Amino acid sequence: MSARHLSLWTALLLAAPASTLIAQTGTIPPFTCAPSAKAVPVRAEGTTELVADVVISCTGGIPFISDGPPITPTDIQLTFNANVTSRIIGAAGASESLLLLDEPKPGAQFPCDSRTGVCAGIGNGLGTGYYGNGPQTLTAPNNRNMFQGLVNAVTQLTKGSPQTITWPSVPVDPPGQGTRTFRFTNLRLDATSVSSGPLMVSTIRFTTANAPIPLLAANLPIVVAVPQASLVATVRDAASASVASLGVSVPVSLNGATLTRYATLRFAGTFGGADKPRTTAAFINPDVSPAPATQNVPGAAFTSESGFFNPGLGTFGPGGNLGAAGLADAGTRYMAVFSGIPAGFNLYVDLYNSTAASGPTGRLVSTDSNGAGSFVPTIGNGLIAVLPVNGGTAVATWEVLRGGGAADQFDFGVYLAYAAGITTLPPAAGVQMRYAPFPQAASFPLFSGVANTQPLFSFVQPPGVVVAPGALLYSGTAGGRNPASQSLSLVSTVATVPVNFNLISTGSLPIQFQSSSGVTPATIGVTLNTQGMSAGTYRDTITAIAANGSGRTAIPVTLTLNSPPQISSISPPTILVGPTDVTITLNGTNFFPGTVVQWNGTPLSTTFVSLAQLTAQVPASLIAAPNVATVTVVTQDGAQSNSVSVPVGTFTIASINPSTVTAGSPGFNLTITGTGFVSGDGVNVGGSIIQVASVTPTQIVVTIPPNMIAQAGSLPVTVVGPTGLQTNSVNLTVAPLFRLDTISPSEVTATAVSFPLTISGVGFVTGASVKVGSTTLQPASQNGTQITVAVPASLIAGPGSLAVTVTNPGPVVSNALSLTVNPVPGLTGLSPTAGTAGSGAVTLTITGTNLPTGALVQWNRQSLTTTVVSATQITASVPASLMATAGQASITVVTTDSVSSNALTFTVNPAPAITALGPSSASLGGAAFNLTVTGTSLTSGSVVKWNGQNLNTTFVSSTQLTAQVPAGLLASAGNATVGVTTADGVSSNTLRFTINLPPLTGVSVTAPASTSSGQDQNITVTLGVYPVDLVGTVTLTFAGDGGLPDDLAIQFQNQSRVFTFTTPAGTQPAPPQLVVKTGTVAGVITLTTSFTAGGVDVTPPGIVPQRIQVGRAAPSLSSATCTRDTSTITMVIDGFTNTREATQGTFDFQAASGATLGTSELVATVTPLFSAFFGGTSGAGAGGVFRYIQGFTVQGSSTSIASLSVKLGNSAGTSSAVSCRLP
Amino acid sequence: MKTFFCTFVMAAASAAQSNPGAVGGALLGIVFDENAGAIRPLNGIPAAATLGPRLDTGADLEQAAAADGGYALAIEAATGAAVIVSASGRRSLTGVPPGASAIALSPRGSAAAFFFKASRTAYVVTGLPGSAGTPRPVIFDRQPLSLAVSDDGAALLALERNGRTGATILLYRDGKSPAVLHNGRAIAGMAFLPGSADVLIAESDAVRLVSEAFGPQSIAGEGDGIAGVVAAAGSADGDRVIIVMASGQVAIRDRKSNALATVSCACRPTALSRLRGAGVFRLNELWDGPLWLLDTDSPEPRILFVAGGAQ
Repeated sequence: MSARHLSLWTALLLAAPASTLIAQTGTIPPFTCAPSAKAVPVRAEGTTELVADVVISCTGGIPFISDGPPITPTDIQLTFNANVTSRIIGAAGASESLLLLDEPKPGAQFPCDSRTGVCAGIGNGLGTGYYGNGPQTLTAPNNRNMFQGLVNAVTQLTKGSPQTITWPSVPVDPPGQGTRTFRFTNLRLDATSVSSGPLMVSTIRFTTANAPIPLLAANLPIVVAVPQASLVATVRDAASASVASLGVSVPVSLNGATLTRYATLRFAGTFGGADKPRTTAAFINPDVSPAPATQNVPGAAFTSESGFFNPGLGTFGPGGNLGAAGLADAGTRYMAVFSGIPAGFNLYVDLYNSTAASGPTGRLVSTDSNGAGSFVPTIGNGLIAVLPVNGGTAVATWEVLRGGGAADQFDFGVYLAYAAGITTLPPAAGVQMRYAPFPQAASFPLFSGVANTQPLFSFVQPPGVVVAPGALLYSGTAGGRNPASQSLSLVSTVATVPVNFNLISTGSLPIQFQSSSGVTPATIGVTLNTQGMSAGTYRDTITAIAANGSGRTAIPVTLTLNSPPQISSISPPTILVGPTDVTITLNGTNFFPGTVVQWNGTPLSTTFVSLAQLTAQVPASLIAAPNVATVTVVTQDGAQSNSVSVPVGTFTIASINPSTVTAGSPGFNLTITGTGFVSGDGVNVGGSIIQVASVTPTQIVVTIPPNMIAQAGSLPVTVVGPTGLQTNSVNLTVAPLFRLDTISPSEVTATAVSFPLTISGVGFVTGASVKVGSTTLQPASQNGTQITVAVPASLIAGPGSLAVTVTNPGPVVSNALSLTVNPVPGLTGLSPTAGTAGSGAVTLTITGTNLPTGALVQWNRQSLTTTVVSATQITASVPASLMATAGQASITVVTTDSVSSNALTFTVNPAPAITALGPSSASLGGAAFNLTVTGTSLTSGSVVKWNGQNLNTTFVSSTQLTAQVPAGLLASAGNATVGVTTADGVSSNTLRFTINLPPLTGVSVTAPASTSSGQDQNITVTLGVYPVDLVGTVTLTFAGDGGLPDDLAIQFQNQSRVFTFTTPAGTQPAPPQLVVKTGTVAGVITLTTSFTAGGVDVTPPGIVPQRIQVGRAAPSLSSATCTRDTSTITMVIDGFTNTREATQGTFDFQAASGATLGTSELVATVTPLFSAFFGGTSGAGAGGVFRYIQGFTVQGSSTSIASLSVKLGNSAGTSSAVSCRLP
Repeated sequence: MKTFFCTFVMAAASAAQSNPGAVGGALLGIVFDENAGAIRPLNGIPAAATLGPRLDTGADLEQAAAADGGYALAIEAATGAAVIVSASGRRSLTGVPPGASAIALSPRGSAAAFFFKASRTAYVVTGLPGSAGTPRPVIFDRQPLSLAVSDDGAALLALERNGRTGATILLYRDGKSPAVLHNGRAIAGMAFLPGSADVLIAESDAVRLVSEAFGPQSIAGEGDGIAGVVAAAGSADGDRVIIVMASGQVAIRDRKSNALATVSCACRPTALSRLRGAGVFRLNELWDGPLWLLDTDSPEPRILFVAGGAQ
């Protein structure tokens, strides 16, 4: 330290005790400083509150001169009564708290890191300050006038205590006659670290390397901020009209609820500026993170969360990003922590507060658990966001984007929605409203403390509906009138709150409501329509449903519908005509009291005996004449029973049926017709009482057993009434037994030959005769059951039917049987009439007349297997043996009694043969044409066959057929086999038809005559339309130039040296993309192309091999990389030389900045190196590709070389250079 | 490889030094043959590349990520062990648990992340390939769809599902809470630029660069004919951004001149994997037919096929 320097600080150190002396001498004005601050209100809950700037104004002292020693570094330390929370942005506790020396304007603010010495500047002797290390001119001020304070951090305790900030090594240059101002800004304090009272600076120290300098202790402390409780958070009703200190009631409906706003959360500041946006920017677009607005004016009053910051300062060494100093990460954030949100409920909040856009604006930014989520561009549907609920808890955090300046309030709506089916009232839900407690890592602003949870929602039941009576009972009779109507009364559980309701029935009863909906209180009539219903007990349920979802009430409905009365019997069942009243008794079911008996619709005087019995008095006037009365029973509600007829009349037999039977006949039913018959009547047959099978008033049926008619005779029949009354008697005659059963034969063919007729039956007696037609014949033989007679031919000369009877002496004539005389069969048609020799078995169909069952078809008098289809059609099978040779056959039909029909002729033709085709060939893909087939024995119906496939054929003559050949049969080249097959399947010999391929035109494969190595060379392929699928094949061969070996990398893109493609028939194909890799060896690539169609080579003569000359060329280098260590450099070069040799490498070296090289180029002979590689085993299959590695030793430091490049030469030339930069 | 000794005299040096030179076969890169469960070399140079036979690494491999330096990180099929394989053999990576479900390799191959689905943890290894350090675990908040790692291993990108159709790219760095880099609906991929923490984000119709220094920048979008993006990557020097589209089109944006060049092929790109060179990439996988290469180091960008070689 120089004397000049020492004298100044001696003056400072002694300022207080020597002030009088200095003042008296007037030579050295004292260096005095006065601190001040404009205290601001801050949030008592905040832990990173931006407090007022501290300004120290100093005067006096002796400025450092320009040619003197450097300005002495001084540590300046501020100590507060609260913990310092200014953010650390750099190393070693470098914070955002800044010292602005002499109030620099924005364009003149330069950061200073005095620890590196850059600020240990020199003065100018004027006290106007100069603290930088560069040239200082009036037009280019270069002051380094911005210093970072070091703060105590948990992990970075470098200077002072948690309540201090230290600006180290500040070049304090006394101002002399002027004023030096020290502004300390971006001072953030933890307001919660002070139990009460203001936030203050308690001490300020200036410290040099020698000793601390207490400064202006007399003025301290000074107040920098006054903490105030800043947030009042309340739950309000949905409209935010009033505070809901007990929360908001939420009626829970069974029907569920759509999105509904139920409550409002209000965050209100208690003083202006308690809510702060991130910056003072007027930018309000909520979906884009607001850009920070520069706040780089020293001493400005900042109303945002951000303090002084100047983004132009940028990153400054270990000090960190000074451009972000003072910049808050977010504006004030309000947080709502919801608890007790029931399962099944969706919770929503407003994205914006109610005054957004026109006033203070808050915006939902996070739904995570600590509110520190980054700014969320979009949430929800644009206005409302759904909150994720986890275990009943949800969190919403809103950020203040714009404050109003005054004590603002922010209202955010809270919404719920839930699905139907909530049956149990959930417990109450609450909300905790507070500032969002940012974690330390999220920077500013930070808050502490947890607010109490306030009631938010209480879930209540909506009013319900009470229904009376609790059940409805209906009764009646099936078929009767409807039961009487009944009523339901419906009232609300809360009399003052009407409830809308609906009535429904869910069962099968036809319930009709007077009205199916209404509002309580109400009375609703309920009727049942029982028409058409059967008896039984029915149950149904009426459900009253409260429209508000509070619940539903079930009213059981029971309908008992009795069966209608049923009459099972009436006694007596009949009534005889008479002059006095008759009492009848009705038996049955469902005779309920009040039912009435009706006689032909006239009510009778009825007496109830039981549910199963009634009696009624029939007046004499109703039975004065015979009639049939209809009796019914009718219930009180009009249901009517079945009807029963009661005859009124007399008692006689009019007739019996049959009146005669044959002795020995089986038992039979005897029907007795008369009047006055009743149940209980008996029938007396020949003195025996027979059980009656059925009885009606006019008819009785009895069953006569066989034993009663075993003998011929006469049996008297009478009917006996229950009272013993008998009718008149009628005789049943039993005749003796005599009967014909069969005759044989029963049919004959009309002919001139007589035949024997055998008659079978019973009761034949000696002396009996036979009558055939009108001719009586005497038996040739006879016993009691059979007679044989000879029938003369004259009786069967013509067709007809003859009655045959037997006459016993008496004469007694038997029953008659019929003898049928059939006509002689006649043939009229034969199908087919001809066949082909060798065709195999044939079935003949013969038509004619009088073709009898059992007849046989004969082929030249040889019987065939025959089927008689009908009297006009018969079929027969001709075996293959009879069709083996050509000729003719006589076809007849013979009856079972050997009568033969007329004859028809069947012809067997010879087999076909073909001798020529016209034309005998066609072009592949040609058009359809007619084919003429010439031969012998060609018949109508014969078909020309093409490879076994039938062609559409026309018969011209027995020596010629024509057939249509479709174009589709000309799609394949080669030969086709043509033959003829007759209609009955006999095939001729075959002839060959030839299909020729058309010439292939319009195709080409073109390659350049020459190219270079290391290319993917496109080959041009042109294709035309061809009528059949065409397969192209391009084959690649390579011949190395001057004995150079093959290069296996020369391939098509299908990784082969053969490329095949197919073009479909009849279409213009897209040419295939064909690429050939030219490899890395000089030589000739030859492409040979061929085309085949259907396996036939159709390569046109113009398609010639394409030769691509790949000439010898200089090497090509594709990449180079460099590495180095202390004294060596290694270069790795990849490339190829298509001559498979190299001669020399030329290396150029570029010097690093500030270095010089004596020689910048070196040349290496590499011929042996490359010869060894390409001539050896490892290089045999490498084509011309190589990797060349070259090392260099550098005398001195290798860092003197920045980059190097290389060229490589071979017998054809020198490559372009490639270079690499050393790392 | 044959060696040759040549002598150079550096003018700045007073003594001559002899250094061995050598010429051998060129290795363009390696590729994972999924069907064979093995690594295969791509021999040659971009203009004349051939596919070599599988490298016998002593064990079948389940998955692998190939670096342009001629090695790959892989998972053994039988043991699940993480290994580093090259033409010279196979060795284990100490400290990486077995059974990784995915591997993410940094652009220059100097760092990698082995991801374990069950624990939602990635183990980041740096110093590859020769000086692998102790793996550093990074635990993700949610199950990522894919990962990317920077060359220094300090930064990780995680693509996470966001709702039914959206996705978010998160940056995990320095042990801090993840930062949201991007929200989108059709994110095709993400990648760090070589040697940088700058991030390329590829969407279906746009590619952006999120720069540490300058924030988000548009590289190319719909107006540039970008559609159906498959992947994007930066050249080794970071001067070019390569954008590969499913149509076979490849766009190359020169960040210095802002010129946009395009090249196309009759192929179907599915990948963008680095090979030796500043801007040489493999465009598809072995299972998808012949391999196709993008060579942007040539005077004009071009797409070349790989000739078949030994199996």
